[in-house]
Amino acid sequence: MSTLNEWQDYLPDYLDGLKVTLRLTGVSLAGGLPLGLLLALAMTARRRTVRWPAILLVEIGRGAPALVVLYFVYYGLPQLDLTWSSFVCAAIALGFTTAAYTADIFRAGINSIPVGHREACQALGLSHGQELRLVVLPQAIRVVIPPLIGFCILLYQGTSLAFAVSVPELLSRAYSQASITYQFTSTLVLAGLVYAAISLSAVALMRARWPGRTASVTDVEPPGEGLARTTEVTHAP
Amino acid sequence: MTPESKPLLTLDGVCVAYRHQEVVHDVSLDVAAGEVVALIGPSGAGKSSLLRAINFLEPPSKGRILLEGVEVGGSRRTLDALRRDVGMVFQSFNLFPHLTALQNVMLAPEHTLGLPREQARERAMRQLTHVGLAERADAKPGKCSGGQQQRIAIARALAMEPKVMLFDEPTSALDPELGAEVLATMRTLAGEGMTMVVVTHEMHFAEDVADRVVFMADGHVVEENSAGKLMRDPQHPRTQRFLNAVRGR
Amino acid sequence: MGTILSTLADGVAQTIGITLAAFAVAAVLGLPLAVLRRSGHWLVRLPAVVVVEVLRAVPPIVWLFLIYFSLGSTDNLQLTTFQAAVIGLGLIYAAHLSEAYRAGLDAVPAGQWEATRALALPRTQAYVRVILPQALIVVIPPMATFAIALLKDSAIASVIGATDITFQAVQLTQQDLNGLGNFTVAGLLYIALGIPFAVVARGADRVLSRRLVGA
Ligand SMILES: Nc1ncnc2c1ncn2[C@@H]1O[C@H](COP(=O)(O)OP(=O)(O)OP(=O)(O)O)[C@@H](O)[C@H]1O
Ligand SMILES: [Mg+2]
Repeated sequence: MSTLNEWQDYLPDYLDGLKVTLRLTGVSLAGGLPLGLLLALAMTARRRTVRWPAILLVEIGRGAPALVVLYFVYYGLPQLDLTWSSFVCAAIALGFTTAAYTADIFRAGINSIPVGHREACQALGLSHGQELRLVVLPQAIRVVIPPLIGFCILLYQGTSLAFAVSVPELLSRAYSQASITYQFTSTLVLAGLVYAAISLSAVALMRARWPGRTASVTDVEPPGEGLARTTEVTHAP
Repeated sequence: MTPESKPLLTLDGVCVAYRHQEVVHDVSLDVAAGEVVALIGPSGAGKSSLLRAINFLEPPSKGRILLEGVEVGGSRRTLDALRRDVGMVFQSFNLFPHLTALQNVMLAPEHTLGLPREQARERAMRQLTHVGLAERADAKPGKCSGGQQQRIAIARALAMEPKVMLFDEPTSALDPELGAEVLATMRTLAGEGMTMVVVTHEMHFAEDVADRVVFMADGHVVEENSAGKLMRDPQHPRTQRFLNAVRGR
Repeated sequence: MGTILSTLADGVAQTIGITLAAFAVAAVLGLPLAVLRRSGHWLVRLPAVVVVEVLRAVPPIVWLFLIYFSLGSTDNLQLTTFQAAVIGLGLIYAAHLSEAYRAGLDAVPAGQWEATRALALPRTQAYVRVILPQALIVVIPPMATFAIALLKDSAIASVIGATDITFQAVQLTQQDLNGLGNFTVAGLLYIALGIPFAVVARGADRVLSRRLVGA
């Protein structure tokens, strides 16, 4: 019973933290998704000078731990006179990681389109842009949405890394409650429950909508070329 | 079958159902020791389902299976006993691709029957020799022809020294030429007195090798008779139609 | 760069240690989870499903906190940061690997199961001799990918104070204020450490595709 009372005390603070968590998720997506699409297009471009820098960026974003990227932004960029709040730093780092991961998802979607369709476009005299806009992307979107949602769930969990640079998100609130009350179990369990509640409902929604993809958020696919070409999305995005 | 000889295998009112959809209805059949029964009929008649019910790969939804007069099923123990005594050969061979021919054949003697490894190996070698594949003992199935693979599968089933062998269209995944070598092996087995139930589309095999032919359609046994009579002088119009169709008349 | 590298090198052993130990835990625990999830009986399946889903629904860093500060800080049980990280990451990746194992088991054709049943092979023998050898080769590439993911996730152990690469980089930065250089080197170090796993994955992939063509 007393745990429930404690939780009642914590909850308003946690909900404020949850707002920050969700805002961080949203901002990272808003920045990361468009960049991810651009990187994917660059990765599938014909010209090597376009392709290689994009591949390099994506490999770095996927190969380095998100926490290290976050520290790089938070501790490193001020050396270049780029100083932001910890929230902005976290959004930049997670946005970059989002871009790298989703670039790979987008690229897989683009590559899933039969070569014949692209050849048909060229035979019809469509420009490269028209080909992308009218034929490739509309088809790729359908392939790409389930893994993208899976990634969003992992990104939501990954915002907990921002604790390390003192963004006042959900985990930080739990931790500071714990350091006041020394009730590590009840504070952290409640935080875990809040994370799990949202993750699990999102997974449930996704499965209801795309029942074929039952393997949940981390779909296992054998890796292809590339250093860390993990097609399944990992926990710390 | 003489009246006093007890049947080796008895099917008594066997039904098979998939999710409440019954596809085999009330089939009763006696198979005497040493008898070869061919099961023929159009696609979807329920031949495979019936055959698989005999060793409980698809447990019958109703009815009983008796081996040497003892009812099977219910407990795991009688089921294992049944499967030890009943060999099965599949249309698609189902050999274990990561094991050599010899390892495929000795697996069950060693791990089901618990024979010492050397004894299991000896027995497996004997069966491989029996089907004429001693020299392929160390080859993986992927390196063998389809006909060889099916003969390895036959050796694998024989290595359990079963009382009855079930065959589900053992040649239909094979070119006629390769099928012929499998049929020859089966013919030899029949000659040695093995009790066999064979689902087949090979009418020559049914006519020449089987003692008895059972014709099934729509989940029912329509007609059964000695091979000669049923194949040459079918009584039921359904049987006549089927035989005419497969013989291309 | 040389001095950065020599400082961060102090954390390499810890990073590799956490990764390998947690992976071993995950590889061992993941298999029974996968087998239970394939059981025909829902009473057996349900606990496994719940464990897998709950492990994956909570951020790893929260698990590490729970294990280190709550479970591992009692009078009866005192966990080191290394132990807490290995337990936490090991459990989380057991859930991930169980899905990989499950996919591998599903990849074994139904006919193989039927053959083992027709031969009356005991269930454990069927798993050990027939099903697992075929499933495991399918599972190696995704397992290697998970190993890389685990390597990266191991960085969060620094948050509870494990003295890994990331921890060393943070410490060094607090002294020399060269975050740019330190974390660049740290990032490259993680990428480099992942290469062996990628090589394994690619090798197994090649064997697999050759097998598919050859079969
Ligand atoms: N696993 C299954 N689940 C549901 N229905 C099945 C299953 N297996 C077979 N059936 C159905 O049962 C009926 C009988 O099938 P069965 O395979 O026994 O026929 P068959 O006589 O062996 O035909 P074929 O000559 O094509 O092999 C068919 O209508 C088939 O669609
Ligand atoms: Mg059939």
